[in-house]
Amino acid sequence: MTRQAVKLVLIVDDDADSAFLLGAHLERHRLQVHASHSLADGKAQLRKLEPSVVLCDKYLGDGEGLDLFADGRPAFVRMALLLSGEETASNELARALFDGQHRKPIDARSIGDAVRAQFDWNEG
Amino acid sequence: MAAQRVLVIEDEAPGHAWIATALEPLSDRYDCDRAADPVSLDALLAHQRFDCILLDSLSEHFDAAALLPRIHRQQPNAAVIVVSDGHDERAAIAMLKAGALDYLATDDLDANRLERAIHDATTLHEARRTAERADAAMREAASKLGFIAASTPRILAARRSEEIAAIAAATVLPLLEATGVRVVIDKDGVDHTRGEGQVPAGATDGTTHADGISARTRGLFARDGARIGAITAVGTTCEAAEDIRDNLLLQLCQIVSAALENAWLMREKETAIALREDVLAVVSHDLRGPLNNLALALGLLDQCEPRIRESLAYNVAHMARLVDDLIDLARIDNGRFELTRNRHALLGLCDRVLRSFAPQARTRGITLLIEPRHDPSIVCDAHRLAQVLSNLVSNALKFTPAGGTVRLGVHASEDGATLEVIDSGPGIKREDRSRIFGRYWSKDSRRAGLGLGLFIAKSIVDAHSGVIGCDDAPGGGARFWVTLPKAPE
Repeated sequence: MTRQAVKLVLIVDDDADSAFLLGAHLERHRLQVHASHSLADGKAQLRKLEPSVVLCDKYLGDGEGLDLFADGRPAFVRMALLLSGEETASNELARALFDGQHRKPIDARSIGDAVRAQFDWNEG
Repeated sequence: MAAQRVLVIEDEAPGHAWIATALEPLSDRYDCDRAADPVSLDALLAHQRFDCILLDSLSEHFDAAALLPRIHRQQPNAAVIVVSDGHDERAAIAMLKAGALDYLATDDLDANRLERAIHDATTLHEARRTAERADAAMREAASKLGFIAASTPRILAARRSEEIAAIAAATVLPLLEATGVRVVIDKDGVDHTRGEGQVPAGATDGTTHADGISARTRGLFARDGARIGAITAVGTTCEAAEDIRDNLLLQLCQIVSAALENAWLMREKETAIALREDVLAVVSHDLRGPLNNLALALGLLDQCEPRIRESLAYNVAHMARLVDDLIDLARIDNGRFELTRNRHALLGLCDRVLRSFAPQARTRGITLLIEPRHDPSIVCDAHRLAQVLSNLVSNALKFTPAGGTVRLGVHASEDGATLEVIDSGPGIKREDRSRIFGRYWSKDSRRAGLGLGLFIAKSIVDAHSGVIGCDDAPGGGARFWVTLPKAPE
């Protein structure tokens, strides 16, 4: 796994402002961020960029974020978090191959810490 | 006018035919038959109908006292006059008690006297029969009205017009159809009693007759006088029955009118509530996006004074809580409030909630304590239960002065568990305790908030089949408690 790929975070959110602001937070932690604004583009970028971390909004314009890993979750994804305004049942998250969730409004610090922890582990 | 039919029951022996002799001058006014022996009597009683029966109580062949009940049974429309020698008053009274309408002595028996007696007896008998028929009709109508009255609560409680028509039809049809009537309830020209056919076009209040069939229509009217339908009773023509039907129809129309209007008002209300809750849910959901972006942007404001950042952060979090409460309220009202249940240890959950309030408590100089007697595990929605505890602890901190204490207790019982939050604030007035769990209640109208927190908390506890309440804390302050069963019922 290359250093560039290890530090890549894919944000999938059809709200461009939300994706930009969250990305701005993560970039302060010297992480590379790519934003997709649809489920279809998210799936395409997932295959193309091989991100280590995926942050995906639950409700997207062309489908549900829970379907992002409908064809299977690639091994290079170390952590996948669902972003949503409502609580999602843990068994539903597990079925969709997500590791956890962050409720909106997002606590940028806590999500930043969670993402950095993944990369620190990898670098270790 | 047809001659009245008269039956004379007496012996034929000469000197004993008193009645026949007296009747002879009246032969053109009465159509007479004579029974001089039991055989002829049997045949006449069985196959003829008489208006008046003259019975000789001195006859050797007939026992008048024994004959009277049989005559009443076989000839209910006939007036009975008994003729005797006039000297036995006791026998006369016995005959009158047995059903004879008059008692004549042979000494008084002549054509005039007899004609007068027959006229009076038949008139009296007809009057009694009419009174009996009227009484029976009144009793029947009363029982039918009583039947309708008993069904009225079901009709009024029905929520759909089809349901109202069905209950009304099921209630009244068996009664009216016994008199040969078919009930048609007209709403929009459709026969809701049978689900088929059409009510006669242009049906208006009134009665129509054709070929021995009558159709009595009465309108259904709302409270403002607007006509909302009609009920038509169709059946064979019968004057007495029409009175009964008309009365029943009127009663039924009044009940069905009220029920229809209630059902429509209820439907309008339910539609309005559903629309309001849908709008609420959509608006609240749409507010989350901008709130989220505000929170993220806030985190990027490095150049901002800490005090301003704290204020912005607090207000964004507060708005987020308000939006969450509105969404929860919409879900509760729409019946879409669902729980995700698993077994959880309550002590750990309570500890996490208290820790989240630790910074706020420190800032305000309030001591937070957890006082566990046990560590029960129950099946619950941990996220929602934490929401309940957070609401109670938040309220406790709000109303506890600096230097005070907020304690959280955890107890296990045989049936489940009890959580309590005790503060050292001013407490809850007794008259407020029944109202504080209602929606939009707020102790202090100047404080920000929708007043939904305790209402939502109660809804969550209710969904867990638990109970929430409040009372005075020992030593002052308020004590809020929540009891939860081990497993949901």
